[in-house]
Amino acid sequence: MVNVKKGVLVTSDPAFRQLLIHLDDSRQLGSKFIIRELDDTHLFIEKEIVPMLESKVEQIMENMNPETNDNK
Amino acid sequence: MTGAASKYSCLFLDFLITIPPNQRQRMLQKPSCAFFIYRMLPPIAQQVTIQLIWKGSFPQADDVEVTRQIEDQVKLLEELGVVHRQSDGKLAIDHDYKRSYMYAAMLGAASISSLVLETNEEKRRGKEVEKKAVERWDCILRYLALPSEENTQAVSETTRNLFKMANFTSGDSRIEITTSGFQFLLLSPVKQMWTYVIEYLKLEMSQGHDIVEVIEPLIQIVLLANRGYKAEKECYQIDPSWTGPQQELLNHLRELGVIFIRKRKDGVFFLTQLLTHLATNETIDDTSAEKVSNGKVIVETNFRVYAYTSSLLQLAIIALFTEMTYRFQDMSVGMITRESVRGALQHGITAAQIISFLRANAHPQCIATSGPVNCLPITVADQIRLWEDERRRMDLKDSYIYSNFESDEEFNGVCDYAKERKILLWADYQRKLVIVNEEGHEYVRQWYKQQKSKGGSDGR
Amino acid sequence: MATKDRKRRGKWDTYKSDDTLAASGSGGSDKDAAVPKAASHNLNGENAPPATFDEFGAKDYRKDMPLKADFSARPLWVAPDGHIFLESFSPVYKHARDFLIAISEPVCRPQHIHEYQLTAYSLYAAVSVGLQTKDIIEYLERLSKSQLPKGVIQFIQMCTVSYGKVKLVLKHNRYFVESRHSDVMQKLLKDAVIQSCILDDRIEPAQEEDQPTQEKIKFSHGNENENLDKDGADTADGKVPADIDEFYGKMDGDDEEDAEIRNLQLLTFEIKQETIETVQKRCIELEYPLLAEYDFRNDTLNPNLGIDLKPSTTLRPYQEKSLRKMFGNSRARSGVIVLPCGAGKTLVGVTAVTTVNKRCLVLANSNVSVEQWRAQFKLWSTIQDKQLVRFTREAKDPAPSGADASKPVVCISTYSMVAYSGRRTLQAEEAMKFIEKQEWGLLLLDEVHTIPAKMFRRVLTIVQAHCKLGLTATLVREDDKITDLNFLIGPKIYEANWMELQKAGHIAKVQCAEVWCPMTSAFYSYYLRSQIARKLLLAVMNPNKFRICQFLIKFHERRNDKIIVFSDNVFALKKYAIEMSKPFLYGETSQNERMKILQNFQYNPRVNTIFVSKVADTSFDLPEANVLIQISAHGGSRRQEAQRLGRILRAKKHSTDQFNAFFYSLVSQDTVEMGYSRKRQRFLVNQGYAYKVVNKLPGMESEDLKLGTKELQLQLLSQVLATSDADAEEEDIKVLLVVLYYADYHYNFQEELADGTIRIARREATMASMSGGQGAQYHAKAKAITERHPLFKRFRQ
Repeated sequence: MVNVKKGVLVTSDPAFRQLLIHLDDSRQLGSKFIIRELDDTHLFIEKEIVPMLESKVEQIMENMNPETNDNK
Repeated sequence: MTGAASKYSCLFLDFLITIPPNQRQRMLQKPSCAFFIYRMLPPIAQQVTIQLIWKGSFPQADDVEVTRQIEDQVKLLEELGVVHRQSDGKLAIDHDYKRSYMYAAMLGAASISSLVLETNEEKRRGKEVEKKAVERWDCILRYLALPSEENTQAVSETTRNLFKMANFTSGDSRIEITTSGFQFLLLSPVKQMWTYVIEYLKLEMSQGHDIVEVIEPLIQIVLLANRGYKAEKECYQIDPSWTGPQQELLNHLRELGVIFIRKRKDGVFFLTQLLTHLATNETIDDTSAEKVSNGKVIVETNFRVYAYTSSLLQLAIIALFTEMTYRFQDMSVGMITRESVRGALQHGITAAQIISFLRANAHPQCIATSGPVNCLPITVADQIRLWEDERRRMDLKDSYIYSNFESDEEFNGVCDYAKERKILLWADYQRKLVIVNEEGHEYVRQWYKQQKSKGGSDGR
Repeated sequence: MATKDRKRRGKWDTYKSDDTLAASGSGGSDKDAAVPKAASHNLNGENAPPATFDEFGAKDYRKDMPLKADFSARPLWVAPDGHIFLESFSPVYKHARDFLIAISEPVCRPQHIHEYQLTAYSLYAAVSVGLQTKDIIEYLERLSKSQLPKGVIQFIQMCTVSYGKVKLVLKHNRYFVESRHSDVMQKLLKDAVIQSCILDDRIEPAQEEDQPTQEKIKFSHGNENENLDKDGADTADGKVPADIDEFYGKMDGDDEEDAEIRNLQLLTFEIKQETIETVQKRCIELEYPLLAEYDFRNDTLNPNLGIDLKPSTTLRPYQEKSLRKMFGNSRARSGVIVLPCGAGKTLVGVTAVTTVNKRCLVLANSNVSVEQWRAQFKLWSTIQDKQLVRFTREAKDPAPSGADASKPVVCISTYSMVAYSGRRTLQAEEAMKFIEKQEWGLLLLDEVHTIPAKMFRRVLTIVQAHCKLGLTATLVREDDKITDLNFLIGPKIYEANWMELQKAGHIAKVQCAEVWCPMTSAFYSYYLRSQIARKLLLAVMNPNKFRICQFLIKFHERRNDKIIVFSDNVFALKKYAIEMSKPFLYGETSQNERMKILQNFQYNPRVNTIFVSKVADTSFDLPEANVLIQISAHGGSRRQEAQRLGRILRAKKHSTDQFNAFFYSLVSQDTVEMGYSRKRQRFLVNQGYAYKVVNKLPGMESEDLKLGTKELQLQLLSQVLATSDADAEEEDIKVLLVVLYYADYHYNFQEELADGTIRIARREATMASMSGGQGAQYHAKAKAITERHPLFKRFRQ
């Protein structure tokens, strides 16, 4: 019997996808959220995690790009 | 909504397409309207129209690109009702339009106007018309940028309603600017004025007023702008026989600052320089007309911003995407930071809008040394775009995944069907996985039902 | 970030304790150098009015700064918090620029608006180059668009009132404190600490030597008047408010002490030589920092060197200007001159020596530099071989002895050599005695920003010098200890504007690019799971970075460019270089090998790329190099970035409006390298450099590059993962101290430089030796230079 599951298709570059897998593996969002690893640029994830994931990603990007203007 | 999405990159023509055909036809019968429509057409459409009026046909282009452009613009003319495709497939000019246009062309733009120049020297003495006009317009923008108590008092109720209807502001007791409102602020003055006027016309239409009755005097006034007038000398009589909505229109143009009325009882109005914004053909001349190098903003390679202005409005716009650090009387200092730009992006402002605003408002010094594009340092423009891209690192789509197909046939069937219906997002032929978009799920269910009934009739 | 800092400090400590040089300090304390209390004042504190903020969160100074009627003709906004904004397009820009650089610190100087900041240090510097409190305030007022905020006036007064009143003078090998302000002298004499340092407790009026009106010092042969004429032409267009113009003449002229001050009695007392530092420090505490000035023209005790610049030597305007500041009142002032790498610091130093014309000690930070200095002395001046004495571990020229013992010389050595406190060889011992015994007219300190303060102090207690001149390109220290130099050497005398030198063609026009290299997913997967040291290695070894590096090398080699690739990480350095079959050198590379590599890079048309570690950050003068690719760097070091850029800054032959040098910083996307990279750029960005972010390189697809398959990439990954932690580390900082030993090679090279024709002939021979086919390539190169760099074309709008 064919299986159907509702979720969210994530399209991203390979490195970014790796970051999501890392978040999943290390359970940084409290639980696992990846339903399937599709290919180099796609993942299928739980819908419920999206808001939390988005804010986590925001935070990570923030840390990776510190403000460069120090001399205000 | 705010010009970026404009279908034919001319807000006026876009609007004309949306009004009921019978009203539009009445407009085509008015020489001033016919003449003005012609002026607002993109160049190729103008040529096509002229050829059709005088020769009854127009030559084909041999260039593929030009042919495509002609087709596009002919479509515009059809939608406007200026040309009609006949049963034999040939194009013909609308009779009403032809007659009105030729009438206007013979008499000249000024003579088709029913407006009367005031000759009484006493009344013709307009003081500081230009300054006051610009102040009026600034009031409107300032209300939108900073809807404080004071700024709210400075605009009419209609303007407040208009912005609300246009979805530029939200909230009843506490007015707040919306995403579209922000985008409106970043538009060029030409686009801003036309957006305002069109929103006004829409408001009129929604109140059941006869739209032609309003558009005609509007166009007559706008056409006056092209006579190469002398500031403060162009003074016209207000026709007391004008209807309520027409009088109302005058009030609005006054609020916009495109005309100036000292006192109602004077019975005269002056034209102002701002009127040229409405007379500008957007399709030809969007920015270069006002690129008279009166910009105020210097952006440096180290992301510092120096704004030579004391205008609260301009500072408010700049502060949308800039972290402000110093305020002097004639100049303000700020810095474009990741955080400040992200703030703007979150408001729905795009990197492209910020960049075009900074270019359009570049200080003459920057244009002189680096030209009209590089006046905003490329590295800064790039970085603003990169900050925008950063937010697009992942694309999320609600969807359904199908797995465990029983057979290749079943998998291929769903796959092909999804492709055909344009609901397929992703598929893997090895692992037999299919992902369809949110609406797609319903279709796929239908497909299975169909298969079942087919299977049933097959007797399987 | 915090861990990184700690780590760095740790290394620095190791370095210090390893290093016997500074092990036993000279009784000087370990504490930070004393600074006057006034120096700790800033305008954010008590003097600035509490800032109000406008509706956009900016400091609102509209009320504090009412505009003057003719504000548009004046170029400055002076904010109550001490920040000054200057319009570079103002007709009085030049008037304001020279003044601001004298009284304030440049914060940033991009194209249109320059920002400066008034600090206690900068005002100290202003006073010590002879500016008076009232002149500073008055000229600033005239240049300003608005009235000066009261707080600013008070701040200037507070910081300058006590500065510059007391001088430390070395005469006849004895140290004197002198001043014409009796109240100040009384105050000093009442102080117990100072009392303990006085050699003879009588204050005596000094015997005033008759000072004949001195003729103005000239540095080179006659292009000065030309400059003055140009200044005149600029101001003649009438846009300049009269009060500014009139004052400018006064400011720009030689500054003599005001007549009224000159008429006061000169008071003086002698202090014990070993207490100089104590006195200096105490005077700072008492808010009267000592100015060191040397009246070399009236020094009859010390013999003249008798050397001059060669007639063919000409100074560039900024070199001359910096020297004018140093010798402004016909005496030599101590202080620091800041010029970008490649802008001719050495010539400034040599000219200073020929001007003072007394014994001179030059201290550099490596043996390579010592040789460079020697060669430059011979290149620019009429000095004779026997007047040049090298004192390094390798090259010890005999100290003058016998009949020549008292003849003045120029001695060149290193900081470590002089500060060394361990056992020395007999010969070295004698040389040291010689250095200690001399009364040096001038102590020249090269690359001052790199020397630990402790070592510095030791040098200063060993060497007796009338005047100290520090030279540097980047007056930034990551530890922010740069301010100490103000009081150890003297204030900053001059700082050049990088962009202006670039525009004038004095340094190369460099296109800087930050190239983003996406991490491959395999590398990134491990990256995310690793500790920081391993993370850094994975980021450097990112196969996409390797491929982009290879692409850039191929691209520039085709243009006949000369390319240096920098990597702090030695594992990566070797791996990249070996994989691409390019020569490499780092701390452990033998001296012979180094010489060979560098010589090949210089003269062999087939060796166009070398890989180097951070040993090449400074000291390597490779004038041919015009492309620099950085694949790994030391954290967020702004100084390293600027030093590295300096490797390609020497002015190029093709000085057009186009870029003629390229600096690529390769950064692995989504890694810590991104943040570091931005931090590193800050100094250069504030000098007006713009880093173009490049995230797509057109043409890469069609290039044959290594590591193209997943298999090869995974193979590399396993190699990276198999490295020991030690390999993963950056090259140890100790390597920096390993003596660079390609001195002889470099010496020869410089000799050739001295005769320009030989060098050009060589270059042409290189071109001529190319085969016909390569000739076509050369033609293509010439074309490529006139065109815009195709890599960036794509990004043009």
